[in-house]
Amino acid sequence: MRPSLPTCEMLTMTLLTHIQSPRRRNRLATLTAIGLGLCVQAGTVYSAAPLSKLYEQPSITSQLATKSLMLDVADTGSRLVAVGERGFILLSDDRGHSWRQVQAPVSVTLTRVAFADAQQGWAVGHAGVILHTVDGGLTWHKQLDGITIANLDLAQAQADFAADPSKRNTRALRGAKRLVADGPDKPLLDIHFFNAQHGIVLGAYGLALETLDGGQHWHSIRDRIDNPYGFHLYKLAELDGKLFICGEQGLLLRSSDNGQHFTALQSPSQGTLFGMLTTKTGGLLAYGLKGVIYLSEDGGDSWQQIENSLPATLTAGRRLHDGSLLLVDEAGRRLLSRDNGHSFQASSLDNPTYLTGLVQTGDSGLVLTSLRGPIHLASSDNNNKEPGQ
Amino acid sequence: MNAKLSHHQQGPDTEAAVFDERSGSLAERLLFRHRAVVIALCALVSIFLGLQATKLHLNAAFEKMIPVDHPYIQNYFKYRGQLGESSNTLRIAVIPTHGTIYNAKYLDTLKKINDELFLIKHVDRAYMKSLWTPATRWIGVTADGFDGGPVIPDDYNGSAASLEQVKHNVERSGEIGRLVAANMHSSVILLPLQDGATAKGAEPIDYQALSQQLEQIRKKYESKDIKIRISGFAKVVGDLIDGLKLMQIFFGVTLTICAAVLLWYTRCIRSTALVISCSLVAVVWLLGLLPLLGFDLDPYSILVPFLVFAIGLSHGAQKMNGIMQETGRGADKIVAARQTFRRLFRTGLMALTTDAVGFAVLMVVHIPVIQDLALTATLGVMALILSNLVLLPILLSYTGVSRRAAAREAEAAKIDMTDAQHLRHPIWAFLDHFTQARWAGTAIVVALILGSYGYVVGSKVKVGDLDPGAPELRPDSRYNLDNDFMVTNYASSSDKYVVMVKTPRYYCANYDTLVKVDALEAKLQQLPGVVSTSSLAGLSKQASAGMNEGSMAWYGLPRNQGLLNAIITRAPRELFNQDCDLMTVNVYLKDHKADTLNRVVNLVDSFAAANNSDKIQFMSAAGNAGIAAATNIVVEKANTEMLMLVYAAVIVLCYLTFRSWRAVVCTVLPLMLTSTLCQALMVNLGIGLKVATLPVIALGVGIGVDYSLYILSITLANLRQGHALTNAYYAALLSTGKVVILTGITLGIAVATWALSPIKFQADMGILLAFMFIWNMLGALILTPALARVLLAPAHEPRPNMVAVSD
Repeated sequence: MRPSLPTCEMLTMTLLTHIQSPRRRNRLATLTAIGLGLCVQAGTVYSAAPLSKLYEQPSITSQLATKSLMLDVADTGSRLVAVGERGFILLSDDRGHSWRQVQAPVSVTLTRVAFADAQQGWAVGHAGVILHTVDGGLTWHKQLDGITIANLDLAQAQADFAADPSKRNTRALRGAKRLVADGPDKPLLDIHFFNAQHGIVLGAYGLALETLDGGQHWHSIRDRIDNPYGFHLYKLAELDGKLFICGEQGLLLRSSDNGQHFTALQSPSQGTLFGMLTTKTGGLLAYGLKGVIYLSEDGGDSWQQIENSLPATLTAGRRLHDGSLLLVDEAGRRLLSRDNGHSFQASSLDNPTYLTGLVQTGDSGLVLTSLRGPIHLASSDNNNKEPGQ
Repeated sequence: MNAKLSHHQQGPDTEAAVFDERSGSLAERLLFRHRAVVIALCALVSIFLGLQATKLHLNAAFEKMIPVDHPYIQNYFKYRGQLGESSNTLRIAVIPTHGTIYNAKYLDTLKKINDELFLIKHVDRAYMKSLWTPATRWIGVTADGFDGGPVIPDDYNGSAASLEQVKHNVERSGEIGRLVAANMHSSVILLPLQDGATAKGAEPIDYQALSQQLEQIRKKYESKDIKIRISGFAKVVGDLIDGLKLMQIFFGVTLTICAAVLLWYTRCIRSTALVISCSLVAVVWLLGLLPLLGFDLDPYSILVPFLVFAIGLSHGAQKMNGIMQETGRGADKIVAARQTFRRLFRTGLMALTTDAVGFAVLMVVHIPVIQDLALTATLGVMALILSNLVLLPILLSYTGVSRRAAAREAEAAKIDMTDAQHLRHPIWAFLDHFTQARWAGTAIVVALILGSYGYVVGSKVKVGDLDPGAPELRPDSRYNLDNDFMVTNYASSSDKYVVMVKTPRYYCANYDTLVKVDALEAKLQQLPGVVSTSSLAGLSKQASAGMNEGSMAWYGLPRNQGLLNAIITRAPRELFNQDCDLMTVNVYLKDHKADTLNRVVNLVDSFAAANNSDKIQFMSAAGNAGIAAATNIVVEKANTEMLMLVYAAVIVLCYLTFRSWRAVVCTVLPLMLTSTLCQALMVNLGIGLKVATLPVIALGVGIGVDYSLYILSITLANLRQGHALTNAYYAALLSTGKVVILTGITLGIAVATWALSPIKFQADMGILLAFMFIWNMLGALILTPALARVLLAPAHEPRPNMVAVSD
């Protein structure tokens, strides 16, 4: 059997992407190796269009849900909502002491959750799904999935190309067509609502969508983002009216016009930046692969590296009520800064696990999301146990 | 007119001074005319088989404990060559006594142990896994790209930096909870074994030798810094075989108890020695026949020599008692032997044939160890026919019994016989009551109540192992402590149930396939008793995160087929086969209790029913737990089947002996009560129905029937001569009944000593067999006459003109 065309085409695209980026020689080599394996395999491995549509299948109810991988947690003001693998959505009405599962209309991994107010919230995840709730997380419906996203992308690219058949737009159009051919295989990685109407969603391979009507309509904003290689976009942050996006391979973007254009910044990092955090003094922290932390106090123009004792990838962070900053990492550590991000002190969980997200509860306790589900820490546990580890 | 009450069937005038040489059956005349030849032949056979017996080997084979015909096992046999990891895998945990595994000395020792284990015969080296094997790799993504390598790097030199590197590699290898304990305080060497069951043409494993090699390694490397723990089937068998050596002591104890009781009863060293020797001769013949026929003695069939000895003793004692009584009445030794032979040969032959058939019925259970046990037991019983029914009377015809003992016996018999009210001896008097209607009725009602109780409780008997770890061994045995350690510290426990997933060729990593497999895993993980699962689906989800710089936001089945195809090129081989048309879902269980296994079996079956198509089929089962599940199913089915066949055989043979269906009922009902109560006892003692306990009831029935046969045959003969039941039964008690009580109690006590065996299932078997011996004896002594009162007495009630003994 011949390799299916989209498969190898996608591969070639990935390879080309990396060839264009000269500093990634090692990565290229490995990917080439995988790629060769892939094309050889594709010659033999059956690869029909998938029939299973996990993005249309309601999530299973599982007593293991509260012990499964949870990737993010949000506070609606009266309730905590966590999301994770298999479309699991967990609610806690007692500040994280106990959790119950509610059904999602999808069975794919949900990566992020955000609330605009106590009732309205969104969750995003794999296969390009965007879920919406209007009752504080009790019930969810799907607003969008990867198939629609690809079509939105194509529509935008076609419009751009019709207006101006430039080289850039030609390439964008080709990319959009490929996106449609790929099917819903790309995860969404971040969601940010400015208010109940205006929100932006970011995703893999440079996916970016915007809504101005609370998610009833979405449109692609890929063309506003200076991301020619289609790097993954992991996080959007808002600081003093400016918007920032960070992503794969140290990508850093800034928009000073309320998201109309994102331009690339000189990044201090070569490794992926998974998240950003704003400090109460107007600083911006970016953190990510292998535990790197960078601080900019001039709106992203210049960056200084902040020391971290362990090269473990930092996955999420929050500014706590008292203004201190808390980051979590893949090794189960919490890094706390009381000096607006100039230094961090680490403490470990008794039973370390991969941490993915966090939220501070009303009573100053903490809820962390992890590979083993949500973890509740009372406020007294929040102190550093092993300073400077 | 007094009918003469006889102790025996034919009831000839035994006190006649003249004995007709030409009387008796052809067999009797033939045998007794050539006594020297018979003895010489037996001596020759004993020497020859005795020499053969020295070649007998103790062993146990994995494939012998498998129900070979069950569909699960057929599936397993069909695909075992492609399954990668063998079900027969040893896990050797190497534990530093303080600190984590990340120290140079520890890793160095681990390497030495690893290298030494690698050289052990039968190790499937390609699939052996430890921190030091090249197949143990990490995959990770760095800022510089996608990377991977052996967990212990090629340039490892024991320095702090290297150790740090190892630590880092372990963390990204996905081996935490598998090869390395979650707390980093130990690591494991996985040692898959190749034997006849898992690889074609491989020779059977000598588990005893293997276990010794492991113990040597354990001894060599254990120190104040290092502890070693070993789990896996092969180690269980090794420990079992070690425990079996203790069986020699138990055999000795049994022998001593039996000899002492026999001597106490007879006060005759000569005949006691003869009875014991003849039973031992049968055991020697059996042990000699086994290697000759190419059999080993395994932990299950090792009990058969005991049983053969026990049965032999029971029959031998009957013969000896008979001869003693004859001699006491003044017969010379040859005549006494011939009379006894004549009197008891038929009954003995029928009893032993019933035993043999009862054991042979176990052959219907398609589990080779049970079939071996059936064959061994049948052979042993057949040897007994020669040794105890033929050789023993002939030997006794030479030696005779001691005059004093015979005279004592005769005196006692005379006194008993003149005791018309049967009141002299309290036991006989008590037992005699059961021939009266009121006592008989009470006994039957009590039996009915007990029977109903036994049925209700016994129907709750659990199939399979009820204890975690190796239930063959004691919970506090070293093995079970080692196994506890594994279960506590490692997610992938030693109890593994493998679901095989068959797809069209090159379809194993297909997205739709993996979605289904993932759905099955999600269900399995929720079952109580399931510790974890692993499959290509789970691996793909992890790899998806791994290929994206370890970000868990990517954790999920990649929908991109190209990516999936890339992942399987790096997947460990135990998850799928070369042609990518078979993959495995490994379900690691907390234990292999029957309930745990049933839940998994039911879930997989219903999932398969709902999802199997021409593109994907879910099949049970491989892995030790999968095999245990199949074994449970077979054992449960075999239990009913086997009991029905055993009883059918007993009924037919009893009918042939008695030619009276009423007598058959009198024999069989007490046996059934005992079987039922035995199952209730199993429930109460928490003993499950499994390969080890399945044969016990059949064996118990086989031996129990002897008692009834000896008592009822005499009773019936007397009844047929027109005696009242009370007298007929009393006479039977005085001749064979005594010996039934004697052997019943002796054997009961002797097998009860097994309860002290270090091997749990032997202890269980000992308790159950002791229970069956004693209850069968009580049944034969109490329930049989009670039933005879109801069923036999009216038919044979003396006519008014034939008044029973009334001096």
